[in-house]
Amino acid sequence: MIEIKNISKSYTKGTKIIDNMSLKIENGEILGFIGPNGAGKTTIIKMMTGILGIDEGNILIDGKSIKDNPYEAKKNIGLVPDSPDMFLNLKGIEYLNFMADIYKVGKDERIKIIKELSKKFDMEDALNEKIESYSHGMRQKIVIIGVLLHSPKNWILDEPITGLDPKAIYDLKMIMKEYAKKGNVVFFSTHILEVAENLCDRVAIINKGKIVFVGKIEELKDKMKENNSLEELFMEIIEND
Amino acid sequence: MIKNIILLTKISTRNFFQNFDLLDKKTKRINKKSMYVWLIVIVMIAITYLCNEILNMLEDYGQIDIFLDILFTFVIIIMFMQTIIASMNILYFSKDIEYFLPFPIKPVELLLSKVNTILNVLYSTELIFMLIPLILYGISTTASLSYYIFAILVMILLPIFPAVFISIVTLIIMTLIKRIKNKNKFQIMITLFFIIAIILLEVLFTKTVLLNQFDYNILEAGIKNISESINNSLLIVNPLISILKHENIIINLLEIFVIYAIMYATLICIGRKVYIKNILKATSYNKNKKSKQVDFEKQCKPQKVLTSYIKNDFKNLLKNAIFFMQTIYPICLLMLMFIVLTIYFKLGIIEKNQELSASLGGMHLTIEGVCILLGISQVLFSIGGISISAISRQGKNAVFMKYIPVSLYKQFILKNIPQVSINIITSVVVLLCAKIIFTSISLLNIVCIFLICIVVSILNSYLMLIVDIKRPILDWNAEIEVLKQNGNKIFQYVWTIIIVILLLYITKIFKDVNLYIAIFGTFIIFGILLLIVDTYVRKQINKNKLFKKII
Repeated sequence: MIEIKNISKSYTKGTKIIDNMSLKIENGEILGFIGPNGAGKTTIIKMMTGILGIDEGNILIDGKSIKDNPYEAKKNIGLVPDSPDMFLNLKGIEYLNFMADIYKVGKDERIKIIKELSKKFDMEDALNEKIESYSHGMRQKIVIIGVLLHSPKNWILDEPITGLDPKAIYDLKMIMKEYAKKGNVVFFSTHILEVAENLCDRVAIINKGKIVFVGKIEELKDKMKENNSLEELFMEIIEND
Repeated sequence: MIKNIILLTKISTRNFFQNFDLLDKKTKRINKKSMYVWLIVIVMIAITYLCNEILNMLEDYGQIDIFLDILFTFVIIIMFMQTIIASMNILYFSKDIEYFLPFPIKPVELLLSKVNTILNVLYSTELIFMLIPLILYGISTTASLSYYIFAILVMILLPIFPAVFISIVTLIIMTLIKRIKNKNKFQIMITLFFIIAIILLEVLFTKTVLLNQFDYNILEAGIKNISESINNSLLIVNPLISILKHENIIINLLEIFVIYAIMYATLICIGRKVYIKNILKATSYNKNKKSKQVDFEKQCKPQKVLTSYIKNDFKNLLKNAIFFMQTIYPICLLMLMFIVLTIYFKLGIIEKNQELSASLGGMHLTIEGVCILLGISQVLFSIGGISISAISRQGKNAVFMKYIPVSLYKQFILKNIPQVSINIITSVVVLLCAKIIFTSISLLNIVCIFLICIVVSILNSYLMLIVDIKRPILDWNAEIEVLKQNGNKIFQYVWTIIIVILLLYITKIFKDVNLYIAIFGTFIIFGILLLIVDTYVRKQINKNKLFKKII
């Protein structure tokens, strides 16, 4: 479970990038984080994962504060960052092993997950190649496999769909659904509204550092009292804000 | 065509120099806030001092004319080394090549713009290393105005030779090679080939000087020998020196222009046919490779977090050609030269000279000697720059440190290990070389100095890592930007100067004290400094301040 409690963040004095934001994501839930460019999505994800400090408020990961007890909190997080250009000099398998070592995953467990996921993502033949030779989509896939190795209770993905082919998008969506079904949190940011509409239990719309809507798609539609597409509803919310 | 070449050169050069803020963008004046400005100032002051000393010494022996030979030999070797390390990357592996390839640009235009980029890099080196010495030489010899005019002309002409020559050789090598299996290994091998060739030539040429260095009467002959041998083999150097000495100016200029015309014609001829083919070979290297299936039992052995972390850092250093060549390569070469020179000095000079052998064997170690050894080690620590680029080398990837469940302090310590390991090897080599030459130094003394070396090395690594964490270069396009254009290096140079001054001070404090007490005192001084820095790191991490820039 992830609890974001009244957090604020500013890079320069007087300008709040995130302003007193609160959000709770329950176990077993898929939450889509939607917002225009510069709304603060990546900033929130960076604060949730300990990359950025929190000015005010707190974020709890399974009850452990990322601010006060980062080591314990980070154990329960798996982050797929917005750029998959990680450890390009390593071979795919070397990267996965490194990730498994960092998160202390046993030998049998790591072999099982690597085999299973690399097959699912059609990456078996590429594991012995250097990541720098991978396409953007393949890099995204290897990062996703690496993150899932330690079966994090809270899976956070920053723009995960970008660069993936249709099959990989489908597979990823299936994995996200399965993962949430097991009682884990899946939190992801996206620009692609259709993905959010199809996949999420709830969506959170962020604009100018504030959450302007949190709820189910149906609730969003009810709120706007029109049978519009999510795209139109999103535009309406952003423009009204 | 020329318009395109100029445009491409501008873009490539700007890409290469983008991190230097030498000029203030608003006022267009020298940017006093730029670290590079201060780095250049420090280096120039050091060069002025060194040149002045050499000129005075040569004047005393009435041999001031040799200065130009020494200077040109020194600068041309630096230029060759620089071209060798940068050429492969600039000509074939820089990222902007991929952006240029879809444009309707002729191969020759792209090639010449890349050679111009190498030239611009060499001109900047020349400004730092050659401008002041030439002016000082002019002042010392009360040269006329024409000397300074020819000096400018010579400075324009000199870098063309290494830039075009190495470019032609790399073009030929790339053409001869059928396919590139691994671009990093390939770059390392090519650079190794070039450097070994140059070192072999150097060793061959310096042999005469080494044999004669204790006889000042034949100093001139010795240096002339080395310089002439190198300069003769480089075709254009002697004519350029002659121009500065006002000897057969027109003939020498004509000779140089003919040589350059032939070189450029060769470059264009070969480049037109093979450059783009070679680039495509370089960019599609990975597609030729058949990948093996993973052997999970063998390749998935779990390791401890710390071991895995350190191994990963080493892999990043060793598997990337540019990182390897800029950090570990220079140290390895220096170590090799240290060992070769020591053996040569021991077997070729000391063993043959009983008087010298007895005098070196009878020398007793003093605190001055200890500080000299520590000073040499510190200077060597500052060469590779492993810690000062430890975070920057990771690029945008560095953020990984922040979200993994490994404490930042632990990661800080682990990040120091590659640099400290190399430093330890460096110290061992320096101390062993000292032991070989000064046989009277006891093993206990060597061990004591080694312990201080370790503390100095950790201190140096800690400080440089702090600099890189506080001022990281994470947004880079080509690896070469992280090390070649890293302004943080100035901190390394400044720290080395501070250590040298501190060591000088230590020799004064412990002048009349028992050697072991002096060594212990030195150890305590550096130990306390290390503790202070470590406490600072812990406090900064606890306050979430140290890794603030890594986001």
